[in-house]
Amino acid sequence: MKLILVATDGSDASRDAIRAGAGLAQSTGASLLFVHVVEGETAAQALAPALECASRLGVCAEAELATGRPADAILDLARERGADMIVVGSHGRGFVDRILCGSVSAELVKRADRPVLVARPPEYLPAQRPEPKRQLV
Amino acid sequence: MHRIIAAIDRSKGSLQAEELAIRLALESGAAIEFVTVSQPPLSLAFTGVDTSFEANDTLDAACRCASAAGVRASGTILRGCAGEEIAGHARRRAADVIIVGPREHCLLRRLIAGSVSRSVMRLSAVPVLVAGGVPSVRDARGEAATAPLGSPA
Repeated sequence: MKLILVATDGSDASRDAIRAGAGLAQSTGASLLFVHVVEGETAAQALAPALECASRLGVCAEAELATGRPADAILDLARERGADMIVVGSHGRGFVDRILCGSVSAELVKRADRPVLVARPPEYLPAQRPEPKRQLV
Repeated sequence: MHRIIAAIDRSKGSLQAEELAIRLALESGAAIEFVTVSQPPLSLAFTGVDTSFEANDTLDAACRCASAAGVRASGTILRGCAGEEIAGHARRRAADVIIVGPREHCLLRRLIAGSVSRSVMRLSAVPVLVAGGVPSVRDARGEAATAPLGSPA
């Protein structure tokens, strides 16, 4: 794996994506490409923490701004740069995106022609389940 | 990265998950735990597919493939609701990532069995990697069997 594209938008969920992408890049030796699809005033704020996070982990990273529909722009950039994987948060900044449990994430999972990693918040704790009944070794 | 959980069955999408898990394990040095979910009797009545006896074969084939690539791998059979079981198992095992196949394309299968990958994404506490667009060596050899309903795809 050489290049991991991480989609950021300044939301809490995109911070999860930055952490997950940076951790994966550190484990595999891949480089990171952070992309922020510009919708308004938050472009610089969205990319600066991402680059800082990669720098702390010693991961090679660059950042790029894109325009257009978020899912289209992310997929186009991933194809153009030959990214091996796309990393996204489980939902984005917009009200509609939060209500729809991540419409951009869901669209990327549905349409992407390469693997998509959906990051999860570290504090998320689903209900306890019993242990499996059988195990093979 | 230490532990990768890869949710598999006998579908083609599942072979993509298997392939991606092996590649990621090779690059990161992680171990793979393949998991497959044996469907409850109610789903058997709807689908006509008894997955319980297929589970061992599915896991054995995946573990052999991983071992041949030089990756440490084990297999676990889970029982119950696929999304809940896979997400819960990954959390208990402190997995770094869950890998699932791309979603089922057949509308009828999705309507009856639901999308397991979507359910895992909703319930999981760890990142979920959907293995779209990954060419599978085993699929190219024609080793994929018919996809049962309720697959991780």
